[in-house]
Amino acid sequence: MADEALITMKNRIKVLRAERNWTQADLAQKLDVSRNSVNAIETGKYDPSLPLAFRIAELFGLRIEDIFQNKE
Amino acid sequence: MPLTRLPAWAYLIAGMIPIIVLLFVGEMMPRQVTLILLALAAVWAATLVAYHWKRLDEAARAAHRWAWYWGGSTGLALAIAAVGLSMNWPELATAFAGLAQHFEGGKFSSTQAHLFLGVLFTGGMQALGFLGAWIIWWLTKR
Repeated sequence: MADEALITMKNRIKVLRAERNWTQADLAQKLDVSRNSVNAIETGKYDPSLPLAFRIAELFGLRIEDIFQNKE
Repeated sequence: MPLTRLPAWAYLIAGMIPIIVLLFVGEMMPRQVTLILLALAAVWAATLVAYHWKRLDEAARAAHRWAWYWGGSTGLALAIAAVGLSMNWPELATAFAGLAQHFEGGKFSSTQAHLFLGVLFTGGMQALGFLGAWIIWWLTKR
């Protein structure tokens, strides 16, 4: 699948979410996305857009690069 | 819940209702009235589908785009292949003609029946392809 070649990110969303005792549904509601989307992002199978990455970073009070890193 | 914050699927259903209703009651009204109402229903549907798209989150939009590109185009290719097959496989063409006969008569002329069935077949193949690809996209992102 072509778009999977573009997925080069890993992230700390699961850890950050667990630290706050949020479920995937809680996070999905705060970000106004579906729980499926949160799961796909969290497991690194879908890279969020830049605007959504900014929303995630803002929600956790961190910089984008503190949450998302290159896989390599 | 405000009307602008309904779930995405709700806009899709609301958009389709007038068209579905008109499909059933359209024949009871004068043709011109039905055509005007159908045009209004189409505008309504387009507006609500736009809201549906706006309410989808980005992963769901990505799934739709991927599914239409790969699934929809594969379905179209298979439908075209079926036309090619029917040229070398007369039984297939005969079965298609037999199906078309069911639609001929009251509403459809023979040409319209074949056209209707062709559109139905092609659209159906694309829809099936879309559905399959959409399921694959979400299964691979679980």
